[in-house]
This record gives sequence, structure tokens and C-alpha cells, in this order.
Amino acid sequence: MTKEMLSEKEELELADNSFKEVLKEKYHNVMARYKTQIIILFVFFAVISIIVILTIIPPFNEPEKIFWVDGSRDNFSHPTLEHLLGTDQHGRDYLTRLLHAIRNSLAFGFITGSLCTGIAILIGVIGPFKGGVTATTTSFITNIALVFPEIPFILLMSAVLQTREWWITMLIIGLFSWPWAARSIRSQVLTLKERDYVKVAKMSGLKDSKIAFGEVLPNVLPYIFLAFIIFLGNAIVIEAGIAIIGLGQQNWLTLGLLLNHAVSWGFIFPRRLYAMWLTPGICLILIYLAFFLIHSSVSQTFEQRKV
Amino acid sequence: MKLTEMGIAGKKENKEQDSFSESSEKQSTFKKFISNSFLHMAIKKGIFYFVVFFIAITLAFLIPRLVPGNVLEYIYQRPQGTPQAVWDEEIKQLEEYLGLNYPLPIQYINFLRSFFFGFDLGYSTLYHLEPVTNIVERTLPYTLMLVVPVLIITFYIGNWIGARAGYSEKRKNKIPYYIFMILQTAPFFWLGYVFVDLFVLQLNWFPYGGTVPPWAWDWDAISTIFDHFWLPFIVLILTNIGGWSTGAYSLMTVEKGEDYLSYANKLGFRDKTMRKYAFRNSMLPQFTGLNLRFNGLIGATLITEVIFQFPGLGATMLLAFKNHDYNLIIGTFIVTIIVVVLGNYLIDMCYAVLDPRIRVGGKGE
Repeated sequence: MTKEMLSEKEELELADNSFKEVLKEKYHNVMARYKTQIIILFVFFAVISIIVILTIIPPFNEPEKIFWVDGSRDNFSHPTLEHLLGTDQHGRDYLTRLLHAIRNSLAFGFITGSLCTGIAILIGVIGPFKGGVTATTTSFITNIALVFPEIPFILLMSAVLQTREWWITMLIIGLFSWPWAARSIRSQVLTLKERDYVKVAKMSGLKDSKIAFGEVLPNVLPYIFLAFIIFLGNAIVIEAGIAIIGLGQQNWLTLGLLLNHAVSWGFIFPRRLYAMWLTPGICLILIYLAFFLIHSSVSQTFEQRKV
Repeated sequence: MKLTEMGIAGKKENKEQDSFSESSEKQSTFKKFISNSFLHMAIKKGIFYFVVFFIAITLAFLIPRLVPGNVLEYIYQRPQGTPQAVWDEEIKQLEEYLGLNYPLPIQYINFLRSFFFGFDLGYSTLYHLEPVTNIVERTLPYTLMLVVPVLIITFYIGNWIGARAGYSEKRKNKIPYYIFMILQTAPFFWLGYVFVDLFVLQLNWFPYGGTVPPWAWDWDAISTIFDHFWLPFIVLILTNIGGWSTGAYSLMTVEKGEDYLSYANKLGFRDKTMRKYAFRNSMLPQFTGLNLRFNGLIGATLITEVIFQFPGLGATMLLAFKNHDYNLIIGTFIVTIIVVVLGNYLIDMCYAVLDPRIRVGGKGE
């Protein structure tokens, strides 16, 4: 009994060691190959998690807190030690608001990006798999939506709709920016559909929907991921763009809303509070640049894997 | 399947052309240029874009009417002291006058009839009941004078910078590429305000806001228009070059590895000649991107106009929105769609002239 136990333990240890070695090897391989990508992603997520944590802990957790000086609101103050970026029109600390705005903008982009990607996947995958009328209608819809200019439609919708809810802006941006991704996913699916494993799956009696979303879709995932990153960055920038001219949503504190306040409360023209209108734009540039870098490095990785 | 189909179509095409040229050898070059396939494609694309336009104006008709609540009550606030019953009666009369009391399909037919047989977009309440068509006619040139030059200039300069950076190894050629790549990520609306601060408030080189005179062949008017024109123009160019040059860069790096270039190198071609060859061969896919970029550029132009108070379609649309002028909003939107559709059609036709395969493919389907 004891001998067997020992041997089992030894085997386990051996297996553990070999497993560890394999892991080590894999780790070194991955690090050697995808070093820059991993560093970029790590830095990006580290910065974002720091921002999110900062918005929770005390000095920065109240974006609506109003500061008072001698019985009057401490508004439009230039940067001081107490308020590193100054205070806004109601006397609220601008750095706190900026951190919250970055977090909310990213969340906004994330939700809108997933909405766009979802529509693109549905239309790009269902079309070629159903065939017949569905295929022609979906490709026709995609072609038409490609010609529709995104921003004029968004302007019209936000001008005509009288409410300024956050989900309406999300929905409008989501509904008008999916077509190019749907087209590229569709072309990918069309080539993958002719592969042998799909035929095998069909012969073994799987449903079309299961083949489409279980067998074919995982092979398109890299493209979907890339499209998602582009949607994310674009959604943030477009939201800021329609907010700065006063057509955006009003209830989420995003970078667009900050820029809108900067225009409408005169941070730019009469007051020239540089710390308060340059920073949201710089944050937008950094966010977009980060997504751009992630996109280019990840697409490089996928190209390497293909070769 | 598709390849064989295309091959058959191509052969048929050749045969047709052969018989064509045999039967009448003294055809003018113009008639050869507009061969059967080209016309076929022109008509097909024309029908497609007409359908797109039709759907767009249908949406422009439907969106305001499907919004919950009475739009008229939103536009015209009840004056103080007027009883609710009297006001309701007045709104009803207004609805009858505007034809809003009919059911939706009849309203739609009326809308289409007045649009296609009279180009009537209604009257603007903001501009003292002036026809919307007149206002749009006045504002459209401002948008076009931003969009068209920006599209052409960014296409040339962006591709040139990208191809140069992709072809050569020198750092000197790569610097502008990286600069524009970073500028591309800057949001153009924010960059617009940076430029306003820099060139209007600090340096006082350009005027900002105020009234821009309507277009006239008169030196004073033209010079004032151009004073207002430069800033949005420069902002749009700076933010749009990067997109082209990144595409051209990647295309050029692929093209550099082609066999014919190394062969030309071994034959002792000059570097300049080889660069020319590579540029010509690699740039064709960039033309397909023109459509998408054009659509994006229209949107960017509308927002840039608002920021610089340049009185094009976008600024007019926003002014109409602020003054609850529904007809003007929808009129400017429809004209924007017309510009987009015509521009896309033109770009497609240019592409068909440049790449004969497209024409054959259009016939083969």
C-alpha cells in the first residue's frame, strides 16, 4: 500500500514538474514572439485599472462635489495644488471629473463596440449560411448601409429625437457604423464555408446555426476582435464629436460632455482655461492611439500566425 | 465557380470586341472607350445608387413622423395666456395646412411628388418662410469647396508620403509618415479648437465667426470667404492624410518584395524609375477606399463647419436644430445625401475607367 502511495506521489510530482517545464517553455516561447504586444496590452490595462481604482477611492470618488470658498462657489479657478486642473463652472474639481469621464467614455465605447460587432456578426454570418433570399437581402442591406454616411444620419437622428438619453446615442452610433465589418466577416465566412471540416459537420447532421456559430465563427474571431477594437475607438471619438456641437447625450459624464461644457461655458474663448479644455482632447488622443497600437500589433500577430 | 464564370465572361467579352472591331475598324476611340460593358456597369450602378437615395429620403421622411409626441407642439410653444383649447384648435388647423392630417402613406406620396416633380423641400421658419431649396443652394458651395479639394489633396499627398516611407529605408522619408500617423489619431473637432486658439486668439491671423458673404465673382467676397476657409481646410487635411498614408505604407511594403522589382534592380534600373513602377502597381486598391473615405469626410466636414462657423450644410443644419426648423434640418440632410450618392457614383465610374476587370465582372454577374 505504502509503496503504491509513494509511487503515486512521485508520479504526481514528476507530472507536476514536467507540466511546469512545459509551461515555462511555452511562456518563454510566447514572450519571445509576442513581447511588444504583451507589453502594450499590459500597460494599457494597468493604466485603465489605475484610473478605475482612482475613481473609487476617496479624493476622486465624488465628481459632483462642489467646493466653496468664503461662502461662494469656487468656480473657474486656475490650477492650484488643491485642484490640480482647476475647477469647472459649478466649482467641481476637474481632475476628478476627468478621471470619471475617461472611465465612462471607455465603458460607452465598450458597449457601443459590442453592439456594432454583434450586428456585424449576425449579418455577416447568417447571410452566407442561410443562402437564397437571406443572403441576397443581407448583402444588399450591407451594400446600402456602406453608402449611407454615418455622421449626417447621426446628426439627423440626434436633432430630431428630443430626448438626450445615453442609450439613444449608443443605439444611433451602433446602428450606423457596422457595415464594413459585416462585409469583411461575410467574405471570410464565404471562404471558410467551402472548407472540408464544414462539409464533415454538415454530413454528421449538425444544424446550420451550430455549424455557423460553433465551427466557423471561432476561425473568424481574430477579425472580429480587430473590428471590435476599431469600433471601440471610433465610438468614443464620434460620441465626443457629436457632443461637442451639442447633439450628444447629457446624462453620462463622458469626455464628449466635458468638451461640450468647455465650449458652452466658454472655457475656450473668453476664459482661456487651457488646463480644462486641452486635457479631454489629449485623453482622447491617448485612448485612440492606444487602440491604434493594440490594433496594429494584434493584427501583426495574426498575420505571423497565418504564415 | 466564380473564377470559371469570370473566365467565360472574359472570353465572351473578347469575342464581342473582336467581332466589333472586325465589323467596323474605323471606330472612334471614344466609342471604343464606352464599350458595352462600361455602359452596363454605369446603368447598374446608377440604379443601385438611386435605390440608396430613395431609401435615405424615405428614412428622412419617416424618422420625424415616428418620433413619439406631436412634433408641432415641440416646434411652436404655446404663448402665455392662450387657453389650451384654442391652442389645440390652432395646432389642428396648422396640421391641416401642412397636410399632416392625412394617413402616413398618402403623406408619403405627397412628399415624393413634391420632391421629385418640383424639388420642393418646404419652407424655412428660421429664414422668414424662404424656400429651403434657396437656402441650400446658397450653402452647398461652402461644403463642396471644403470636401472636394480635401479629398483630392489628401489622396495625393497621403499616398505619396506613405509610399515613400514604405519604399525607402531612410529615416528622413519616414518622419512625415509618423507625424501624420499621430495627427490622424487627434480628434479633428478638438484640433479645430486648438487651431482657433493658436491662429485666431494668439496670432490673430484669421477671422473667426461673423458673417461669410455668399459666393460671388468679386474679389472682396472671394477673399473674405477664403479668409474663413483656410482654417477648416487645414484641419481637415492634417487629420485625413494619415489614413491614406498608413494604407499606402502597408501596400508598398508588400509590393517591395515582388519579383519584378528585384529583377529591375539587377538590370540596373534607376531607383526613381523603380519607385514609380512600384507606386503605380500598388496604388490600385487605394481607389476602392475612396468611397468609404468620402463618406467619412462628409461627416467630418459637417462637424468642422460647425466648429469654425463656416456657413455650409453642417452649420446650417445645427442652426436649424437650435431654432426648431424641421424643414431646414431635413432639407440639408437630403442634400447631403444627394452629394454623397453622386460622389460615390462618380468615384465608382472613375474606378471602372481605371480598372477594366471591374467592368467585366459587372457584366459576368
